[in-house]
Parts: sequence; C-alpha cells; structure tokens
Amino acid sequence: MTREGSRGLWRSGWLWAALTLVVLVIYPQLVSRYYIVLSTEVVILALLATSYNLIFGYAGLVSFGHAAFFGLGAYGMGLLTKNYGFPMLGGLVAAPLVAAAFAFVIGWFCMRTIRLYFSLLSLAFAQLLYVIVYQWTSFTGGSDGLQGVPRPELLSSHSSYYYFALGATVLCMLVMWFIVNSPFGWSLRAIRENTQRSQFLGINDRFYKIIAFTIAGAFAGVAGGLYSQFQKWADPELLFWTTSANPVLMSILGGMFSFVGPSVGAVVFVALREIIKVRTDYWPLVLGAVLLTLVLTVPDGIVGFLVGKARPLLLGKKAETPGS
Amino acid sequence: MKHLLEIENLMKSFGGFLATDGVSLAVEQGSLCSLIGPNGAGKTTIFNQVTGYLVPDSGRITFKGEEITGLHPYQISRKGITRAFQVINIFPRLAVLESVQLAILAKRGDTLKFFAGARKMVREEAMSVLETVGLADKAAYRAKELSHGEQRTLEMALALAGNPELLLLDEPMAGMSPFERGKATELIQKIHEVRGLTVLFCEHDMDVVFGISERVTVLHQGRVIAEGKPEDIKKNEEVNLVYLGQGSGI
Amino acid sequence: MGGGTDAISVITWDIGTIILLILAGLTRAAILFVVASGLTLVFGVLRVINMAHGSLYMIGAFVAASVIQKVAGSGGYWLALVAAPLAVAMIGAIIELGVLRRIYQAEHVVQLLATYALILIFDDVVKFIWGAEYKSVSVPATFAGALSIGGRPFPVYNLFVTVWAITLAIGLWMLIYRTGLGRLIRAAVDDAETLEALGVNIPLIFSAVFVIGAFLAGLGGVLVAPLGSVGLGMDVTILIEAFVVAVIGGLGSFPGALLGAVIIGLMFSFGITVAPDMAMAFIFLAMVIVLIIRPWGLFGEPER
Repeated sequence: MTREGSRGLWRSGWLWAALTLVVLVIYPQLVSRYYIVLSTEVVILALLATSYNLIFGYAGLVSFGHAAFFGLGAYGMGLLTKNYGFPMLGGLVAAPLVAAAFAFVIGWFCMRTIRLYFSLLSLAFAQLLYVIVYQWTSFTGGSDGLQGVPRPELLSSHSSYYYFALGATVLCMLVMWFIVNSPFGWSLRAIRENTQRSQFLGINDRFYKIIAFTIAGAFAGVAGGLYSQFQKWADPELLFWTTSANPVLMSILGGMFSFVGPSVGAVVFVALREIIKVRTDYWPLVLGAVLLTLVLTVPDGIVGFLVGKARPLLLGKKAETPGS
Repeated sequence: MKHLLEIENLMKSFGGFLATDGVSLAVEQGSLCSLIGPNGAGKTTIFNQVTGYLVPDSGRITFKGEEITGLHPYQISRKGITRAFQVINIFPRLAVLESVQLAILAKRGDTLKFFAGARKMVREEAMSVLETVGLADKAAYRAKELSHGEQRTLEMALALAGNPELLLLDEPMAGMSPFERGKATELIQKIHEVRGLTVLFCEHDMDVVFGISERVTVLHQGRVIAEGKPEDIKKNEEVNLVYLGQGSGI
Repeated sequence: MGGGTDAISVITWDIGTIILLILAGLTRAAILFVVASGLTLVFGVLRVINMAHGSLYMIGAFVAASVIQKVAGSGGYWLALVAAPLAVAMIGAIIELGVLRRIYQAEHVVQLLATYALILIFDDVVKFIWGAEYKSVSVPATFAGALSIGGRPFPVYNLFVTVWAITLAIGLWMLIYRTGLGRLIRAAVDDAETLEALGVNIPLIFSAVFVIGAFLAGLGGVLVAPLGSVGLGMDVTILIEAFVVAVIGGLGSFPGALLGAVIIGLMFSFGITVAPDMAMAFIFLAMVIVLIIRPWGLFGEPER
C-alpha cells in the first residue's frame, strides 16, 4: 500500500466506525456491571440524540418536544408487552410505529409554523401528551409510571441486554446514515440552509419536513422502547419538556452538523454526569455551566470544532467528509 | 404552440398598490429576451408570479401551452422554469458540487429517494454544469467559502442545473464590476447558444440589455409601455422619457 | 348530595360557588399575570425568551420565605415584598450583563439553550443555599382569615393578591404609556437601531427592561409564597404556565398577558372543579390551538 493509500484508508469513515464497533463489542467483557449498565444507557441515548439530530442538525428544525416520541415509544413498548402480551420484537416494531403516527400528526401541524413558534408548538404538544399520560392513571399508571415492563428470558442479564440494545442501535444508525446521505437527506440540508431556494429547486419543503419529523419520531420511539425494557419501567417524566432538552444538549455538545456528533455528545454527557455525580450532588449546576460555556463560545460542538480544525487539511484532497 | 412562455393580462396588487397592471408578454422558444424598466416598475413581481412565489390576482401564465398560474414554486420548477436570484440565494454549508447535484436531482423529482447514495448520483452532469460556468475547480468548497463573484456564478449554476427550458435571471449583473459584467454577459450568451436555453432576464445595465437581447420589453409602473427589437426600443420616445436622467437616447 | 366520584355532583352549583370559583381563578390569574408580564416584556423588547424566568420567580419565593422566617410578624412580609423582588432584580442585572448581552444577536435556539443552562444552574444554587425541603410560608397576620362569600370562606390574602395584581397592571400600563422611560421602551421595540443612532443608550434600556422583568418574576414569587408551598420544581411549573399565558395573549403584549392570565386562571379553577383530570390538558390544548391558528396570540403581531 502506498503512503497515499494508507493515509486515505485512515480517513475512511467506515474504518473508524468498524473500529468503534469492535471496541463497543469487546469492552463489556472487560469491565464491571456498573459500566455495562451505563453503556446500555449511553447507546440508547445516542440513538435518541441521533434521531433528534435528523430534524435539528440536518433539517434545521428546533423541536423542543422530541421527548414525547421517546416517551410514547417507552409506554407503547411497555403497555403492549405487559398488558397485551406482545412479543418483545413485536413491541419493538409497534412502539416506533405508534411514535411515528403521533409524529406525523404533530409534524403536520408544526410545519405550518416557523422558527420560534415551531419550537413553542412542539413544546406545547409534548406537554399535552405528558399531561395526558400523567393523568390517565387507569391506562398508563399515572404518576407512578408503568411498572414491571417485561424482558424476555434471553435478555435478562445486563450484558445480554447491552448487546441487544447495541445491535438495535447500530441497525437504526445504519438506516439513518443511508437516509442522511440520500437525495432526501441532502434535500433536508438544503431546506435548512435556504428554504426558499430549495422550493425554487423543486423541493416541497413542508412535505419533506413532515417526513423527516416522522422518521425522527419513529427512531426516538425505538429508543424509548429499548429504554423501557432496559429500565423495566416507564415514567411520565420521560415526556416532560426537560427531557426534551437532553437530545438537544447532546447534539450541540457533540456537534449538530455531523452524523456522529450527537452520539459523541451522548457519551460525553453521560460520562460527565457519572464523573460529577460521584463528587457532588450538584450535577445540574455543572451541566448548566458546561452548556452555557459551550453555547457562548463554541457553537459547532466538539466534533464541529475538531472538524473545523481539520478541514483545511482535508480540503486539499477533495474531502470525503461524511455527511456534514 | 407559438410561444414558450405566455403571460396574459396579469394583475397583482399589494394592499392599494398596483404592482402589475394588465401585463401581457410572450417569450419565444430559444430566444434571449429582456425585461427592463426603472426601479419599482414591477419586474421582480412579474418574475415572482411566473415562478409561483406570488399568486396573481388575475390573468394567465402559460408555459409550453400548459397553464401554470398559481402553482407552487416547486411544481413550476419541475416543469422546466428555473430562476437565478438578484440577491445571492445559495446554500452556505453545502459544497458547490453538492449544491448542483441536488439541484439536478430536485429538478428531476428524484429527491424522494431514501436509500440511494446521493454523492454518486448525477455527478458527471453536475461537473459538466460547473465546467460550463467555470467553477469546476471549486467543486469541494462550501458555498460560503467562495468569493462574492464566485457565489453569483454558483447562483447561475444552480439555475442551470437539470436542463431547464426557460431560465429567468433577476438582475444578474447587480453589484458587479465592469470586468465581472463582461464575464457574466459572456456566460449568459454561452449558455444560451451552447445549451439552447430560452433566457428571460431583467436588468438595469442598458449596455448589457441592448448588447445581447433579441427582444426587449419595457415595463413602467406595472404596465408594458413598449416591446420590440432593441434598436426600435432605443428610439422609442416614451421609453426615453421614462428613463429621463439617463441621458437622451439610451 | 350524592357522593361518588363525579366531582360535578358533589358541588352545589349556585351563585356563591361560581363567584368563589371566579375569585379563585382570578387569584391564580393574578400570579400568572405578574410572572407572564415579565416574560412577555422581555420578549417584546429584547426578543429573547428567558427560560430562567421561572427560576427568578422561585428565587423570589425562597428569599421571601427566609425573610419572613427571620423577621417576625407582618413586618416580615412587607419587608419581603420589597426585598425579594429587589434581590431578584439584581440577579437579573447580573444575568443580563453576563449572559444575555452576548446572545442578543444569536438565533433563538442559542438563547433558549443558554437560558435553559441558567435554569440548571439556579436550581442547584437554590438547593445549595436553602436545601431541598419544601418551605411553608404563613399568611401575614394583616391578611389572615377569610371573607364569607356566598356562605363560603375565601381567604383575604387571595383577595389582596388579586388587588395587588390589578394595581400592578395599572402601574405598568402607566409606566409604559405615560412616562419617558415607557416611551423609550416602546420606541426601542419599534426600531432600536435608529434610536441608537440618535444617541440613546440602547444597552442601558435593554438592561433596564430585563431588570424590570426580573423584578416582576421575583414579585410573583413573593406573592405566591403564602399561597402554596415553596419548593424546588416551582420554577419549571410556573415557566410552562407563564409560557401558555404569554403565548395565548401574544408574546410581547401586556394586555395579552393580562387577558391570557385571566383566561388560563379561570380555565384552571373551573377545570379543576368540573373535570380535575383534564384541566391541565385543556390548558395545553388551548396553547396548541392558539399556536396553530394564530401563533402570535390574541394581541400580538406576526414576527417581523
């Protein structure tokens, strides 16, 4: 292999993805149960954050109600498997469908508004769903949440569930990766950059945004379904607006203009949380301070910052930077 | 079908202000026409109505014999009319090549594909457009990294993408230096000849207008006051009056 | 009356009940107005949604609780009524100088995230200073007791709060429409750039407006302290409700905040009685409907 070729290989996104996957598969064998459980959470949150970034980073829609679809997925999975005897895989398919159905309707209404009002409307819808879930005690368990979400025998151990969640997440990420690099994905970015011009090019932006919103909601539903199985319960707080802030945070933290940014953000978020929680009760304070500093100084997030530094080097070779 | 584009008795008002007052206009296939008029004459409003950005109050717009009045911009674009904007209207964070690729895909109605890799699609076609306009070496750069003049060229490239049949150019020379104007004029002529495009542009710069137009339509206060070959328009009294202050004889 | 779970059958519907419910709704509306007016003022002039507005309200309540605890009798309450909003106003000044100034030109999402970060920070600061337990604040002696309305008791304090809010509304109206400062503020809403070119100290006006908004939030906190428990989490609940009020009335509009507060307050008090499970849902549904049909609210104008 020539020096040129080997450098090209290292720049290949697929190589890094494969390496990361290998690490993710091997490392639970080496660490304690605490880390395995934590990693499961990170994986699920990474899926949630990436699903959110489909509409946030790629389409430029600032939704503050994404938690609703996460929660709907969680409750959907929980209710279907616990109360209606759905098999787990059936639940994991049905839950995102439920979330997607809601996302479609909500998205249809939300796309009639713009910018700030869009954000507020997404927030209002999510709060509406939260209140309904919270109050409908007979169906959802109300403020106590939905206890005892079943998990199949096969996945009862921590590490087995980790691998399951990892597998599901990787699958979803692959699908999202293809979507993002397809003509549809490119259209979303064009819509983000210049909605009016994209219309003039022939793109029905409102329709595309609704589709993107629905897809994002569906994947958030998968994350929610995994989460309720993971925790073995679902809780109305999952739909509360402050939960919606987390995927926003993770996307910004890791970088909203890249595909892996939100996942990086999820890792950093959870890592930071665990490190801080050991030392002090005041994790929100640290999170707030970090977020504030980040927002005020580095708008492109960690990945954006690094990519920004690396771009001039990459440009010389007709950059193969994925997505972005 | 006589004309590629036909505008019949178009009317549009905003509040009490009549921006388009019974405008009729026809553009022949393969011609290079221009629309001129002092500021506020309503040129951009006409363009906006033709491209679907505004809905006329009354009147008809026909393209290739088919009525397109009041359709959405994205629908009109699919029929073969594209537009380059007066103000630079590009996609800052998309790469130059990506923008053109996307424009071609959008024009074809191919953007609703979810699992095809966009990077490889219509790549040669996009590169050929970039070569026509002279931006091929900047293909990997993000649009926001280009110079102002290059961005205007990209603007043109986006309009060219996907082989439109009618190209509307809205004041393409605005804010350009004389040198840039020369290059832009060459480019417009080139794409008109090489690609057989019908071009309709509106412009202030009279040298450009009379230099390359085959037909000129003059707009004043929302109404067409003259129409014909450049030499005839130059001699037209009313037109000269309207452009008073630009010197006698345009 | 028949027992059972149907709330409607338990209530005897007569004029007295209705008046009582209206008054209860107006009390809630009063608090909502005080808080929402600050939120809407800041948005109207500065074009910023301050998510931390609820936190300022919470801080006002906690400061009031401490003052009332330390200073015996009604004097404590009156002192708190002055001290708490002022303290919160000072905090508001610090926020404006330290954070907001940098993000006026930024996109809404940046502003939302930055002020959300402040919520996180303030939550913990309050927890650090006052601890995590709920604080109970007793009604000041001056307003102790209840009036008999339609044969049922209605707390005097609640009436005081309502009257206070009305006075405040009048005072704010006069400030905005009858004083020089008010004129400057209105001009700044229309065209801050020209005003600055004319030599007006726009940054100072912006600071003043934000400080007033913070003051209002703190005031809301003091007023609400004897009405319920003061605890962590009241920032998030009031924020959402103030949002609903401000959006329905129209972001940036005072009369909107007033009308919105009255609507929501009455919806809540009647809703809780008639259909307790669905009261909050209806309120959010109202917000959804307004945002869909008329996003700029009853009194607002489409965003430029």
